[in-house]
Amino acid sequence: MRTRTWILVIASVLAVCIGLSLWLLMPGPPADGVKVISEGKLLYTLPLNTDTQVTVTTAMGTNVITVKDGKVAVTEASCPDHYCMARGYCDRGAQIVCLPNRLVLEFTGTQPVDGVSG
Amino acid sequence: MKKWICGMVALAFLCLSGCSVHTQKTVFAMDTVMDLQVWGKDSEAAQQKLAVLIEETENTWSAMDRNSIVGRLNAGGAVVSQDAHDFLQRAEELSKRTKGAFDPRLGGYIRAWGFYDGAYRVPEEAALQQAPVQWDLGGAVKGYTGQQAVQLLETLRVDRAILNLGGNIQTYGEKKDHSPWVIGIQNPDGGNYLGTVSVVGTMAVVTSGDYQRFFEKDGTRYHHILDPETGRPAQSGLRSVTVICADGLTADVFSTALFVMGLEKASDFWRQSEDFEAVFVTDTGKIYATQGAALSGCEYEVIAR
Repeated sequence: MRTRTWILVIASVLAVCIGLSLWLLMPGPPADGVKVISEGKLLYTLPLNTDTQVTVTTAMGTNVITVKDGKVAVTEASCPDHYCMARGYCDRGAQIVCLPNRLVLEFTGTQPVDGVSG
Repeated sequence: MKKWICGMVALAFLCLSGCSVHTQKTVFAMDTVMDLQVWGKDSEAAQQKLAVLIEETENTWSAMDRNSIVGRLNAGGAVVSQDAHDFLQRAEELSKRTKGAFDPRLGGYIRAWGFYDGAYRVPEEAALQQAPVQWDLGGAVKGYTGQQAVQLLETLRVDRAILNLGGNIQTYGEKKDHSPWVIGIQNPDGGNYLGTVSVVGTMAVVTSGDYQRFFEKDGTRYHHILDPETGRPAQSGLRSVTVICADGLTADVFSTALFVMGLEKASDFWRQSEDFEAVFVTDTGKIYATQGAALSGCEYEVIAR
């Protein structure tokens, strides 16, 4: 009985520790949406909780923006370097930028940072 | 009635003067994207002046423009203004402080790799040895712009501002609640940011990374941070260096220099300095931060004095 109580106590302390450290190590909460800005103009604000796909075409070129499972990525792009696609799916952090096509994706909502250096 | 009107006018005046207008603007310049956020009575005017400053600075210092100061210097020489002279001199001084790890004359190498025209190629050793010594202030001009922007904001009625000059963060003033500015550090592998640094007041947070500009050829990745000794992409075991410094130009130059030095030499350089802090990400994914860098949100090793 006593052993079992101890095991229970240690297990719960451990669980709390692990939970707390995971929570502390989280790099801030995810964003709730993403702004699609083309050539400096806001085209859409897409919520991240709805899977969707939009295509932005300008004189500069075309980008396909996909929201899936709460994250967003540029999945197709006509630019030569594809840096915008290299970021992959994400839900917080720096803007996703396609310079050749003058496209900027900017996270909205619960972002705990004032800016991202990189 | 008269009292009433007086009261209303006074109230309106108080409101207007107390209100801190917030404006945000996105500018494409210097081959990157810039985000300007300004709070204060003059925020609109400040933003317009900042946009002009950025454009002028780009035109003055572009390495690709024959008519810029850099273009004219490379063509044989140029008579420059006092401001321009000061910038060149400061870039030289900082280069000396880094013992040449930052070099403002790598234009010949940068051209050889095709980073100017986008026609990327791996140059032959002979081509690198024959590359002309040419000015290129690409590793300093964004930081210089941040510093110039701070000087401009000081002359205006602006409470605070945060400028993202293509990944170079320049803060100005304090946040309304006097809490520190929280700046994320981009994960070199993409996705979300790695962790955050907190800075108070007017500061620059500048990152140099191998992921910012690069090309791939035959399975090898060639990035844009060239080692002045070899003329080739620096292979120092680092993926990114973030420098936190009160001076934007210093932060920009040192982030490049520390990347070239590698972790060990860069740590020694920091120990001999008093004016900056740094965060390093190695190519094994380990994170190191100097003692005074207020890094949080990730596991890292502290570099002590």
